[in-house]
Amino acid sequence: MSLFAQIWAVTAMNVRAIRSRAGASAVVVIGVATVVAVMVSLLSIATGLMQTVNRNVRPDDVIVLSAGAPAIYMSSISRTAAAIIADAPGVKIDTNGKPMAQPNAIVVVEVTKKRDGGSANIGFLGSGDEGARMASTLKLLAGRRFRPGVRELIVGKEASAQYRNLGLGDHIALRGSEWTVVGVFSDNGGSDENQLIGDADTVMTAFDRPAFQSMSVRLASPAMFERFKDALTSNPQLSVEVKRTSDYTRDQLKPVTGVLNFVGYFVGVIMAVGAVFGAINTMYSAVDARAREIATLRAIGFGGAAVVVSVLVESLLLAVPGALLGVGVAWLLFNGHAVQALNLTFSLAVTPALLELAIVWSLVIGLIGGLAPSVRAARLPVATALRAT
Amino acid sequence: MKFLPLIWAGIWRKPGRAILTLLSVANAFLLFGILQGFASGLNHAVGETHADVLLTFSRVSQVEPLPVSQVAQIRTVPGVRAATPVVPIIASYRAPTQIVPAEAVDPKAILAVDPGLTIPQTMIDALSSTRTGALVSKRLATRYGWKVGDRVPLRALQIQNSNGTPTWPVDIVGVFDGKGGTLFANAMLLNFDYVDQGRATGAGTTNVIFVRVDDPNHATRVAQAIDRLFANSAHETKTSTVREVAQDQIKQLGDIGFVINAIVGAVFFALLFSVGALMMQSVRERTPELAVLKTLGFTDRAVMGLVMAESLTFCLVSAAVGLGLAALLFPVARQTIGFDVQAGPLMLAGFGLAVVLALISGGPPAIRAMRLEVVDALAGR
Repeated sequence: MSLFAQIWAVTAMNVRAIRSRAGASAVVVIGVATVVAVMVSLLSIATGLMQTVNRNVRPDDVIVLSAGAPAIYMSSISRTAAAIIADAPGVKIDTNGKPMAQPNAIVVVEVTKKRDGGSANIGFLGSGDEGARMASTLKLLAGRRFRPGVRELIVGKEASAQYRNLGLGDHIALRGSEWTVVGVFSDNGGSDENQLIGDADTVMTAFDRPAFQSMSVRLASPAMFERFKDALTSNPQLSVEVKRTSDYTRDQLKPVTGVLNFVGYFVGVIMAVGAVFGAINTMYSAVDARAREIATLRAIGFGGAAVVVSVLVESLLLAVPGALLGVGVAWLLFNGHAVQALNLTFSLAVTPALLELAIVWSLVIGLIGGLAPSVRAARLPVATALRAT
Repeated sequence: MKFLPLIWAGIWRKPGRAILTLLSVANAFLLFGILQGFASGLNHAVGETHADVLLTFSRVSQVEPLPVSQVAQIRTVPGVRAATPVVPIIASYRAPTQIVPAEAVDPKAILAVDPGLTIPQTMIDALSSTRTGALVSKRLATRYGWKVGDRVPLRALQIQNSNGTPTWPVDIVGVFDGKGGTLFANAMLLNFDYVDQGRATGAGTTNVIFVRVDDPNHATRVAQAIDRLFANSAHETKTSTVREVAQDQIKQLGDIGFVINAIVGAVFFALLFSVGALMMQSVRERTPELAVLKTLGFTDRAVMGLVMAESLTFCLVSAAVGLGLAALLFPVARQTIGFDVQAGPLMLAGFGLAVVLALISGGPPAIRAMRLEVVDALAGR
């Protein structure tokens, strides 16, 4: 009999026996499922956060900040600089013949939570016509757009739902000056739904800003990035940094996602160690319970390799469904579950990448758990095992 | 007590299996210890923060600057003992990863503002008299090998020097002991005037004002008085105690307690199965032995008690191993993140959990042992 046929025969025998040892087998399935469910749930936080923030970011979107500014809030772009940037090569030209470049004024404002009356900080973006043209996913759900020159703003639907005085037609005092909410918008579930948008010049006047904070630019194509960047950084009149918007958001969130992912993997590793012990236990008892059958097979000519592989396969056959079960539970409980943290509303996301990770982990747990027992199975002294009752 | 050897022998009947299960249970209690220790340390750290130190930020947001003139106005508020502007500067040393948390402060006011800070007056004088001077905490000095007299080129990430570079050369004039609940345990202290006069933009502003009140019981009243002082001005303020600010920051992270409980819950759910399987298997294998015990005159209840006691002993020993390992990590946590873990309540909760685990997972096998019919068991049916 070929090796494969042998492996197949022994594995089939093992698998048929799983049912008769349901309790012990469940230890592996449930052990792996728990590890995976906890780890995937924790990792889904950072995954969901990145997904929400990057939802509407396109590969041809870039952001320009002043050189050395670690974040948008510390950046400063003068009007002259904004004009030079808009004329740089590589910028996409819209249907009206204007470059798609929008200088932004960004301030953080304090608002009051509806839920507990506590305060929260959200972003107030000062934008303009080109900004509106670039934000193609942004849709007004009610009301109208803000007019330049008057203190009017539109509010994202998440912010409108969570904070006081941000309903359509409401007046809200931000640093002593009154603003009128003239519209409520959705943005395809992106993080913009947590902020306010108004006219850039009006925001700058109201908040006493001498300059813009950043510049959002749409390139003619993603490949134009280097050309655009070189043109700006080599221009002695400018002192700016150019980043792809997706890179910028990833860098900004790295401290947060880094901590979240560390916690996920840390807890995952410790739990996996426990699950490995459980798996070893189960597989040892499986081998012990089947000592006579294994000895019989060895006596009639089955090789040691076939026995080793078959025990490993059984271990994996218990671990992988455990991973699927765990991801399933995490998906049912948390996928799309909206959380409010960091003054953002975002949905947890259990993605195919996390499923893949879970299956890899379960394979590793299953292999390590099955290794020592499989070797013992192959080394069983045939004569003794046959005589055992 | 006289049954202890019997119970012990029952547990170690199959040493390999017992050790593996023990390790997996101990592992779960280790995780429990780390997670709960972290949560308790966090709460403790927040509870320990000074109730008599207030932080005044701009009402608009914490990154919005305030005019420095407000410091003098705050000093006139009744109940205020001292106030200083603080400009936090996240700087790096040689490599971008070598972070230096620098704080530009008023050297004359800093000791009065932070009750935990113990810096000798001579060092404060040295800082005041050296424009580019810097005091560093012992921890920071050790990390980067700094000593008094060194000139350190700091690279500030968000504050540009007026010469157009992010570089700020500072001279180390003192190394202070950062122990004892100071807000600046890890920091480098710089002269506010040096930073303020040297920066490209934002001169005459501060990000936060530290205020010490005479009486912690009046902290809220004083905070309200400060905010009233600047109400309806161009720079409205928001003043809260350090503790409130810390609580707010933790809340920003979401509900940590819920996450930890959910993880621990899931882990123990899995443990129920593995301990339960171990006990069930052990009882099944020992059916003849248990029958012999009953023949010798052990009552049904006594046999059940024996199995329960075995489960209980096993879980408590495993919990002790796991919690013991976690306790070894607590001093490390104190050194690296400055957390003081409250070990007592944690251990109590851990052993309580072990008892619950033992009762639930030992229950079905114990009942099976109790119901065992001597004749059937001995006959191998």
